[in-house]
Amino acid sequence: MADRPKRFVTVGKNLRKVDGTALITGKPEFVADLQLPNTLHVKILGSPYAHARITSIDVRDAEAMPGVVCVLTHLNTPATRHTTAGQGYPEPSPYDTRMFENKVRFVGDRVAAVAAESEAIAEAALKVIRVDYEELPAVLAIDEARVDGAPVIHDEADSTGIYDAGRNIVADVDIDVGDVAAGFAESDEIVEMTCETQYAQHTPIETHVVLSYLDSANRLVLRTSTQVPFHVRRIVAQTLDIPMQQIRVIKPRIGGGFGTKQEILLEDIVGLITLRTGQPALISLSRQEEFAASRTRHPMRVRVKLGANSDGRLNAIEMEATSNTGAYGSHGLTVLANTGSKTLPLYNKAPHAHFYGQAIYTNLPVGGAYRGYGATQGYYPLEMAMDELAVRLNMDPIDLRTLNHIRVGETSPIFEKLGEGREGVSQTVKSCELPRCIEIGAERIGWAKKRGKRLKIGPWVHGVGMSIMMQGSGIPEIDMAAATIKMNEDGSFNLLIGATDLGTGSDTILAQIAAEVLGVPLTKMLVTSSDTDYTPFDVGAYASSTTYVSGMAVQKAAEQVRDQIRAVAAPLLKAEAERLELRDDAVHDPSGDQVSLARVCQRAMYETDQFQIGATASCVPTESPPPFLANFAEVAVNTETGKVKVVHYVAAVDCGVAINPHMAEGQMEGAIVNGIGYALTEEMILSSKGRVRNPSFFDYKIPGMLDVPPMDIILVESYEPTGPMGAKSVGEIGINGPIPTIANAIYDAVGVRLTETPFTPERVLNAMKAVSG
Amino acid sequence: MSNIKTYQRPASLEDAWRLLSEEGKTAKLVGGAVDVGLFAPPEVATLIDLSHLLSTSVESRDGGGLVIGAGVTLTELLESPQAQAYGGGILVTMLRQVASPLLRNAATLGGALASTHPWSDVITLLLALDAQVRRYSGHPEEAALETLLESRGTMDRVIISEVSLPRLEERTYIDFEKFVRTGFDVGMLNCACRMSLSDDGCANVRVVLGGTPDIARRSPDVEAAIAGTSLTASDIEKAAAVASESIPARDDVRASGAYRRILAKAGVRRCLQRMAQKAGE
Amino acid sequence: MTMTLTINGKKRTLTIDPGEKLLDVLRREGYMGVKKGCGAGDCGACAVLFNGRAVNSCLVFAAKAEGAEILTIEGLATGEVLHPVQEAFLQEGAVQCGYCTPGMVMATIDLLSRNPDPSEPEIREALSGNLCRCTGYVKQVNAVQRAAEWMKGGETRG
Repeated sequence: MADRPKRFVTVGKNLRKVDGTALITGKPEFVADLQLPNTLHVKILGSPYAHARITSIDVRDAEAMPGVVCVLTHLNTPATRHTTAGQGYPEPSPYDTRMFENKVRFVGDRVAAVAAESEAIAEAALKVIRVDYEELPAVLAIDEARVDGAPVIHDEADSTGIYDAGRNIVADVDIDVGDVAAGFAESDEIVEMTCETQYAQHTPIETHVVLSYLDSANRLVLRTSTQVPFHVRRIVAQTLDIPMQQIRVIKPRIGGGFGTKQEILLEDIVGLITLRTGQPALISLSRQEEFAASRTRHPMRVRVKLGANSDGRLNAIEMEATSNTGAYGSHGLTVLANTGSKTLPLYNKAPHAHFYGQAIYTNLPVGGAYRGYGATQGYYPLEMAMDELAVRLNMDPIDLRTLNHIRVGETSPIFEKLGEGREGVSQTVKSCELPRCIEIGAERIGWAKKRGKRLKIGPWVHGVGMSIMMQGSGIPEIDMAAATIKMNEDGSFNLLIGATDLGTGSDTILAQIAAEVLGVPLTKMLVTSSDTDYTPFDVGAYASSTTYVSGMAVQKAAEQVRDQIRAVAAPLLKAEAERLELRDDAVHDPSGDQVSLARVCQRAMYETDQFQIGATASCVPTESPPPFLANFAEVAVNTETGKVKVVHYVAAVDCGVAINPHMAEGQMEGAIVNGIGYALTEEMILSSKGRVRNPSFFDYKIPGMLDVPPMDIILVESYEPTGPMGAKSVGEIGINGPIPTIANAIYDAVGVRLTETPFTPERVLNAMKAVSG
Repeated sequence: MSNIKTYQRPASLEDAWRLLSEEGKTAKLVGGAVDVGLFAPPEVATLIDLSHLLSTSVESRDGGGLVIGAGVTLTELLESPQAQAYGGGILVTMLRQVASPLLRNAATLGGALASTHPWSDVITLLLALDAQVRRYSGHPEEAALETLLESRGTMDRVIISEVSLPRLEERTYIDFEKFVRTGFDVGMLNCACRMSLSDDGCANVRVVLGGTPDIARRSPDVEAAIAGTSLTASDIEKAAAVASESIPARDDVRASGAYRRILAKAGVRRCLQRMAQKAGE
Repeated sequence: MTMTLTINGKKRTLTIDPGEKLLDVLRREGYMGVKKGCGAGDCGACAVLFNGRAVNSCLVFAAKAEGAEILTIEGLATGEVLHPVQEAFLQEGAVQCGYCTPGMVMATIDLLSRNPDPSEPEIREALSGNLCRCTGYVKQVNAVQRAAEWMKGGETRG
């Protein structure tokens, strides 16, 4: 791997998005922007019950309604068990889902789908489908799931991959390093903390939407708002039991995903309708449907126990997680595993560690992948317990972290013990600027002069808190990305990537990487992303993989193309190929002679030893270098109303080399604001029957312009030797920060530990009352 | 799902009224059309657009009163110099907290009253200001907003044409407070207070609490607790405590009833403290 | 029913259903830059200028636009030359997925037409009805400030 170059030309610049002009002028680039004649509009009938058996279903009136073309139920659809989790094959999630079934397991679960000439007709037809339900006792809280006599949510015989279906347990994880009991026994101080997180949703402004149609060869085309086009192709083929070669998946521009579009949620339905009717079919979830029946963050109860010596050295860490996957086990095992695997290596100085937990079914909305992917839930109690430990030891929380966090050249046995729902991959940290992140963040927030001061302004009391964290860059030895680059005779290049830009800017940063290697401006890179017919395989956008994994595939492809160009240029320049350099659209030899890239390509295409200059390269990473983050927040707590105001948020992040600093900052800013919403206001409120009571932005409150504190995002660059251009991924890490950081700041202000999210004014006030008696 | 069959633009208020009377519950009046599409019941088949018939003027009257056409959008009201000057800018204070500019640009004052949303900030403040509402039901009629709200269910069955706010006496103070989850939100609770303060103490007191989660209502107990006092710190605390107990607080997705009682206390306290401070200046 | 209105400077006569929303009519007519995010006035993705003011087109009945001037994101650029607000959004990195962007740009244009020199709190208030989930709103504020500078100076682009 090359050393860091002295200076980059294209990398490290705030270049404009390659798709920016199309987006800013409102070009019809999104799924639903394509209008096809005779398109059917599809609506889904959701279950009114949390748990019920369908004893009969009569769709004759719906089918007879003028304009209704197709009605799907469990009676006329494939019964293949599969998972909706868009993960690599074989998926670590259980096969516990059918397209439709004679049993429903949460309010909103699929009962039927209607395709009609208009959305209005489809909606009207849903109303005349007659369904008889036998309501079953439901599991409506995690504590009800594993008790004797609890209703069994997945009592069917044909589901596979469930750890213990009879006890509603999706997955079980238990890994040990050393002997925590001995570690605690040796410790001078023990801190234990249990935290609970709420049901929360991703809420991309574009909901789930899919358009399907048949192409001229009668192949099924799925134009879908997805993070995982290749997994869509595979899982739809499996679900519908059709040859995969019959399916083409196109991912156009996507209106945000954040994990919820790492799910094969609707593609099977519209796909089947198109196959049955020959007509295009469109489904676009309403916001209410999105809230009720898409995916959520797994609510968790996580207990952390820390044992430390009086000097602050950690002896033992124990973490126990109970994760609620809702009615289906999508991402159940892996989110649970990540709660430990992405958190515990941070404090590698502790010789003893234990992580265990279970993911359990309930008759509640379904969990899925959500930015942070379990680490968010784990860092909350971990970083709050660290704060408490510092208080007990009378140490500065910064010093306690500094003493215990992982550093360059170090490893953690957790890396090897715990991976993506199975054993992990050992690795040594090769880049870590966490100490500088902490130093810069502390300085920026004014830590030394604000901590413990409890500044009072009217009813407001101020406090500061901090937390540190790591995540990963892709899934080692599992993720795979490929990139194809081919050269055109005007000196431009097509960059074909399966990597999935869902608004993250990955098309742009991947083009920057290629342009850097090939010595051309970004305008010479023509990017096509995510079409299973035309772009090479990529697992998709999840697990903070794109910059690191797809980026490395692009770099390798570009390097191969560069070498081909050198070989063609060498005779033109009468120089050795190895000594040629690509820059400014030309190949240069050491003497100063040059030949344009266009000229090189013309020679290859039309003149001598003709061939297509181009290459496809793949990357399967052998490690997952963590980005690191130090968070600092100043909050003000209103002692009259309990309202928490974030006054200032500082995030100093080690992202390796930032390929495009604006975009890296954008990832951090967006993740942190999402995390602030998760910490303070966002909560899906469920009725006693399991129905979402606030399925709208009117009452599920995500942050707007007025809710964002002044933020300092500081990119503290390191050079990751295994990464493309020295980069690591930072798509997820930021979202883990706000909960523990704000919680610790609230403690600094008013002395209460908030162990349940979100920190609504009422919860804060109640906690304050409980402390003051 | 919308069952709307016709969209009418009557030539006059008379025509509008006639249409509304003839169609009954299957017709709905439209001002800014912000709410109608969201909240109209399924039986509505006819929309009667009033926007071209209603005044959009904001005028000062009676040496300090304000007459506002019901067709004025909340943004236009917010931007009008007359409204900005009224009551020390209290209309602006309140309106800037209503929804978002995108909604205020469309929503009309008449619609804000007719829709009688329980969380309405406009109604809470206008009730405290003792707004008079001019309506048309085949003939012009005028009544206090407070009286009209007694039959809330019929607020949207009569054409609201104009709202007038009284001239405010010397040493009259008004304040408004709203508690939200995020900056763009309906309140978990809102509150407005008005009073005049003389050497004889507080008089003409109005204390209104809304979003409790019921629609704004005056709180006679709080008003009685304030009337005649000179609004000392302990008077304020007493009134705030009464507010906490007097509201018909219930739980909903936005807040619990118990928390609403805490907010009522904080809201009345904040309003009264600011008013006392202004009075002392 | 039929109606006549002006969209992006062009007079159009359209056939609509009386209960249809402006959003749905505009999209049907090919103005796909007008986005649907909630259908309830909560997110602002569908904002267009209605006689110069930004409104949620998902709420407004199309019939209400009889005789109105409607401006959508598609009507801003002149040929290849972007409107300064569009240019500023790109330059400041304010566009991530781009789905909320058209609405935010339209709300910005409304703001700057009335207040050429807005303070940061004024910008935040003006865009408070436009939800974005990708960004932290930081770069949009920068973009509005940048656009305001350019437009005050009479520049069409940066």
